Amino acid sequence: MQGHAIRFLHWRNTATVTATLLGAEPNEYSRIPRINMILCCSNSRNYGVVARYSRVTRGRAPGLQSRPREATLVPTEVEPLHEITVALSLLESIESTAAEQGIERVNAVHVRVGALSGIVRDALLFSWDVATARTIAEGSQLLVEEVPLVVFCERCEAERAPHSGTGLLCPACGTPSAHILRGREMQLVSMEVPA
Amino acid sequence: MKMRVVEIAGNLMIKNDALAARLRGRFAESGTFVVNMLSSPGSGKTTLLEQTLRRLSSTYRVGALVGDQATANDSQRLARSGAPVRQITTGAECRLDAEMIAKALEGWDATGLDALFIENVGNLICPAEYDLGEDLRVALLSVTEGEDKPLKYPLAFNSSRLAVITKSDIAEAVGYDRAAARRCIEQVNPGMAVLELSARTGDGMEAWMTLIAERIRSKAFTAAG
Repeated sequence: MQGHAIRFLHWRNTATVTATLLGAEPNEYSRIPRINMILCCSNSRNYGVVARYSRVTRGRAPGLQSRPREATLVPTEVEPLHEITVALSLLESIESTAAEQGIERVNAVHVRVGALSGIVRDALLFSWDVATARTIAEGSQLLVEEVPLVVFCERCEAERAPHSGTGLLCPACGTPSAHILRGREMQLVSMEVPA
Repeated sequence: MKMRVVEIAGNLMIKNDALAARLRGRFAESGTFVVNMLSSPGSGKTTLLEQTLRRLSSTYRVGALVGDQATANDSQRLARSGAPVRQITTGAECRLDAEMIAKALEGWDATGLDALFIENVGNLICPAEYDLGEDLRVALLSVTEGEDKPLKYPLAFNSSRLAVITKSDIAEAVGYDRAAARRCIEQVNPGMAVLELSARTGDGMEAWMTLIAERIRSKAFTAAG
């Protein structure tokens, strides 16, 4: 993902924090071309309402619980951030395995992520840092193996890797395939812990 | 520091899939037909559902679960249809999962229903991964959204059995390209059933209502048998 990743620590200060992190004055907000991801952290849990914002203008951002003092962010297209949910599920699995085996510290986590899972690698890495704050996996490294989409083309009778953005079209003969062989993965593989 | 590797081979969906299977068993026993509706925000899920509940409720016992990140507006709109509606406020979560469905059903005898409609959170990424124990997953696509949406969100359309093109009454005004939309759907789910309708004018609603009513009856029949 291009651009800045911004982590908000306080609801009330979103606009100020944005300006600070992007090195802009409040009156320069409209010049910020694009914000890819905004993560709002509530006090009770280390995550909150999450969205991707594509443009900054004046106005009120839905989903923000309190109005920032200066200009605010208006989403032109808001999508909930899939990756924070995934990061929290990963953490949950890790914590339960760790509890079973008496593991108190996790240094690295290996995951496998399919092209169809809709997971953006950088967004997942960022979400991981936020999700694991103050947990046994705080500061751990997330190692993401990306699995390309592979379908079985019945006409070619072969495994094929469709070009991105073409759905399940066989790149060789142009026939759409309903058989996804790989690319749907969302798997935890292993974790590295102190010996 | 010496390290060791702990294998945790596990699909992240294992827990959800197990819960969904349990829900599916419950609904099979009670003969409740369950629909999971997926779409982007603003593609007309609530309007379609409102009309659907209204039309079905004279013949069948129907209800709805509505997932929304923040507001209860949708469930209030749906409650006007007279059918029982429960709201699931998901907060940070961008989708409904089987656990949320199970919780929402606590203290509500949804098994007394002939059909349960689940309006998922408006989002085409995350909900596609989560089985809710449904019989029919429907992906909605409004004519205003751009015909290539299935290519952008292949899993949502690939994992659904039926595509419903909504807001067909304004198709012409927005320059909707029917052939292109069908082509894109075909590219991610060959042979997928497609219905086109306008819940506002009622155009195309007959086919949708017929399909739903048939499925409700066949589910009840299977349960009774």
